[in-house]
Amino acid sequence: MSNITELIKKEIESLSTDATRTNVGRITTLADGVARVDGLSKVMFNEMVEFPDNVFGIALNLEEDSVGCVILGDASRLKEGDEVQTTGRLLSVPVGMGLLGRVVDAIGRPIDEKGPIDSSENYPVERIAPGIIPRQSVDQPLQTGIMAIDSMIPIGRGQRELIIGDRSTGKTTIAIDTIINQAKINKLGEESGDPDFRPVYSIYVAVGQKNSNIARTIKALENNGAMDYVTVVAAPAADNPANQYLAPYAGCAMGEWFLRNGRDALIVYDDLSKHAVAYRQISLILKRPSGREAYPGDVFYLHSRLLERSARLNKDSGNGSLTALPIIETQMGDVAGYIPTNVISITDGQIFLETDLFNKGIRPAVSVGLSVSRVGSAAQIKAYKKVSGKVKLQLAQFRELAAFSQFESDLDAATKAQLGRGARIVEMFKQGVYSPVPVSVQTGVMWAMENNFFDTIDVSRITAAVESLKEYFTGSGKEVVQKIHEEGNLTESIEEDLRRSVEDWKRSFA
Amino acid sequence: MREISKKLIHLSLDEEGRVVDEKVREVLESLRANPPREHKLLLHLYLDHVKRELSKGVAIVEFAGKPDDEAIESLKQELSRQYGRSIEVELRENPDLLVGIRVKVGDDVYEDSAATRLRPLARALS
Repeated sequence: MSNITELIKKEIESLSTDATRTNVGRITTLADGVARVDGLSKVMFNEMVEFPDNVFGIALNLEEDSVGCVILGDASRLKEGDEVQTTGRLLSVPVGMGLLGRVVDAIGRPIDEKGPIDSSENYPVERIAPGIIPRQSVDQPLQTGIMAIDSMIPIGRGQRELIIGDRSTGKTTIAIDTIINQAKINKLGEESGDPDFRPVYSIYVAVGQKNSNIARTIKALENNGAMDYVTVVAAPAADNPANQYLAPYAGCAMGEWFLRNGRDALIVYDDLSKHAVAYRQISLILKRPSGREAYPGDVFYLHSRLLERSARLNKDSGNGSLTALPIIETQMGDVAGYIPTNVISITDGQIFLETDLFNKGIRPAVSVGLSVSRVGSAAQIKAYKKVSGKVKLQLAQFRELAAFSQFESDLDAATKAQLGRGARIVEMFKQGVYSPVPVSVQTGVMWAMENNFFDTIDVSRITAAVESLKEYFTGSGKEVVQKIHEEGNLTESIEEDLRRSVEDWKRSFA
Repeated sequence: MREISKKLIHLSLDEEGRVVDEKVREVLESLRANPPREHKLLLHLYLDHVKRELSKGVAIVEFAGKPDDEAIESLKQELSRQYGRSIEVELRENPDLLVGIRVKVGDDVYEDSAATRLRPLARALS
């Protein structure tokens, strides 16, 4: 009760005595969440406008004698002739640490029934990306915990790495694994009390997905103890296209708070194909000219201005970073589609997932040939770089030689060895869902592979052997892993310890 | 069609930019004598423009508690000065304002009423 009286008192104090000046218009047509308004002659582009019954919208089309507004929220109570007024504000969302652990909608309103958001700051959803001067090249790793990615397609803080593939190939799983891995690293870092430790906070933006899928993702994050470091922005398929269009920008604004406050954040856009479809729907209703596949002409700018906001800032600008993992769903593996090629050209690399590999049981189904990270290798830790340097080449050679593997009896010993190594690497990279592996453990496993410890183990038992070695490194072999973690490099003494540990493990495994 | 309707409205204004009845009649007669293609649509667009132009010269003053004549006269002068054209005042009683006044000139709305001030409070409590 006292809270309510305080609230009223505060409101009375804040009341101004001056007359307000607004600009108004009237709804002339209303369809599919878009209103055409006559008037509003002084409205700004992207300005929030207020409809009756506390419904808000955004002015997107400023034409000579009318304004096209997308409606945020329930448009069913609005009707032709209703008055619309300008607010003088750009659409903003709450930002800050208070959003961690929360699920919000496209305009930052809580939808998790955990009460109001504890935030005193708002950021506009649309903002110009950082320019050239405050930026710095990527030099800090962002470990996904997925061996196939951390070894061959490493990601750095501030990078934009696209996850692309057909439906049901494990795109979201990679993103969720990465988020879970950040949470695990954050917990260990906080427990260590290291003052230089920089946690990575995550934002997961769900666009046009089924509510059941979003609920499953949230459950997975909660079950793995990651939710404390995550904000989920949900614009499900049932939401209007305006919310689906805005959700990535709202999530980006929340991530920018970390970027501009010298912290590190990771943002997942799941997915930008549906985002483009929502934007196409809005554009067609607004009667904007359509181009290829009926997308509007500025569909490239739609994604480029979003992804350019992810950056690594230099020390003078606070040293923060915002890493983006946009997701694109392809149709029948066609990476040459309109939206996929747009986003491929914007990002700093892509992780391509193949249906065939997925169906063969190679999961994550990363296609090594088509996947690339253009800047991430600069951010890999030395120890890992040392052991993973040859893997991509070995896998490429394996794939080339694989066609001849059916004539194995006619092959020379060196070729047979290459084929054997390739098959074992493929098995080594198989990894279960929601089970990211620390990079120090990955280094140990990769070192064992590079130093021929798996060569005597049958290919069919490699996955079990790798799992066993990972377990060993978290149990009796954890000292050497700890040393790798602390040093970040494979010194001679560490390599010696590693050799002893792996030999010890191999005796027990055999 | 929009371009033609814009030209028609220019033909309907006097030197001070006000819509003149006589000129509107002349435009309508001319259209009737030489009906263009999509005559009806053109007339609709023309009507929209005329309404918009007329609203620029009229201040709709809504009130709850009638202001005195002196205040209305001073309001009229101030608005005419601000917009650089003669503004006519149209008075309307609006009890929804509770207390205060609301003036609408074209798309611009000036409001100082209890209803406006209570709106943020209602929003905060909803």
